[in-house]
Order: sequence, then structure tokens, then C-alpha cells
Amino acid sequence: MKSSTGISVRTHELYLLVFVTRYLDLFTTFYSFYNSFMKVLYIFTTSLVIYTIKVKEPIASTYDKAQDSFLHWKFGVAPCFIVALITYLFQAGFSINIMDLLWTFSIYLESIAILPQLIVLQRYREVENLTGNYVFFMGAYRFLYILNWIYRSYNEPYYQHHFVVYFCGVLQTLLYVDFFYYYIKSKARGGKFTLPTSR
Amino acid sequence: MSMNIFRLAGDMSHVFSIIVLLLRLRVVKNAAGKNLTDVALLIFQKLDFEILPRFITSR
Repeated sequence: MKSSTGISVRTHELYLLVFVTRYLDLFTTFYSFYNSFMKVLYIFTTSLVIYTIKVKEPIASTYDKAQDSFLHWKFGVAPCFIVALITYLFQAGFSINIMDLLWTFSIYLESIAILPQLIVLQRYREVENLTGNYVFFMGAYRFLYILNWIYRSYNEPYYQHHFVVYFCGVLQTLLYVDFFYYYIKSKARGGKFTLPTSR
Repeated sequence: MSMNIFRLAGDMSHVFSIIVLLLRLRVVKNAAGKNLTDVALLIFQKLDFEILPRFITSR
């Protein structure tokens, strides 16, 4: 049965905002086909997810708006933008580059983008197989990026450290730790994947 | 911009996550036995071993 129970669309709205603000350089710089292709792919697939959950039937009518309750604009986008603005102005001074500012914002926002989805999972308690897998791979991706940054810092001659990126990458991965623990435990045990509720 | 196994694995993990999610939303469980995880894995393998190697440029 096609449904969207257990899935948060707010997480993907945040991700879309992350990619759109981060990949503005699609219009200015060409690095490689792979690079451009992946950027377009992320924006396209995230939009497709949002469209599927909010518009496409029969999935749209199964979307549980009451469960997906994290006020992501007020508590996600706004604080991240303010923090990004402050830290960016601090290090950039008067030479403000809007694309750099938006890029910094996208880094902060991505670190918390999974929160609405984790909150929905906690509410449902029992996590479907595919839902659990999708969240796991989302978490794994940023963790693998941390290893990528470490590798590049040792192997690339002109590698520039981005401490904001490191901090946010670690924060992002840490948000998954709780989830990873129960995910791996349930994979090892077999059977249903359940999360403890805080209530 | 350089490529390494961690970056590639990270990107593939990310893409795989979205594919799994889209499958979860759009595909009906096949009563003939193939479950959604198997379908997802097949698509991932095709993407990773047949399609992407044609496009990735390494610097």
C-alpha cells in the first residue's frame, strides 16, 4: 500500500533549501560532470520526494501532518540563518559575498535537517524497514564525508580546512547516534525495529 | 576538487538513501516475492556499476 506514514516532509523541505542555497555555484563554476550532475540530482530527487508526499495521490492523503510537527521554519531555518549571518560577518567583515553567506547557511541548516524526521520516528515508535534504511544512509553519508575531509587534509596539497563544516558535520552525525544505536541493535537482533518513546 | 573512496561512498550513500525513500513512497510491495529492499539494491547496483562509471571524471 502506497503511503507516507512515518515519513517527514519537513526534513526534505529543509534539505531542498540546503541544496538550493549551497549549489548556486552551478551557475558560476564548472568542476566536473560528476559534480554538476550530483548537484542537479540532489535538487531534483529532493523536490520529487516533496512533490510525492504533498501532491501525489494516493500518498498525499496518507501524510500525517499532525505527527510531522517540528516547526522547521521558526526553529530550524531562522536560528540557522541568524547564526550563519553572525559567524559569516565575523570572519568576512565588510566584504560580504551573498553566495558564501548562503553556503554557510546551508552548512548549518543541513546539520539539523534530519530533526523533523527523527521526531516523527520517535512518535511512531515502530520503524518500517525501508524508512529505517533511508535514515541510516542519510546519516552514513555525512559521516563518510568526515572521513573524506580527514583523508583530503592529509593528501591534498592546497586543502583548506573549514571548521564550520567540520563542526556541523560532527553535530549532524551526532544527531544520528541515538538512531544508529537502535538501528544496529535491531539489525543484529532481527525482527521489528522499534525506538523507545520519551513519554 | 578531488575524488576519493570516502567522498564517493558518501555521495552514493546519500543517493541510495533518496532512492530507498522514493521506493518506499511509490512502490507497492510485490506479492510475487521480491521485496522492496531487493528492488532497491538491484537499482543501486545498476546505478553504481553501469551508469555512474561512464560519467565520473577523476581529476
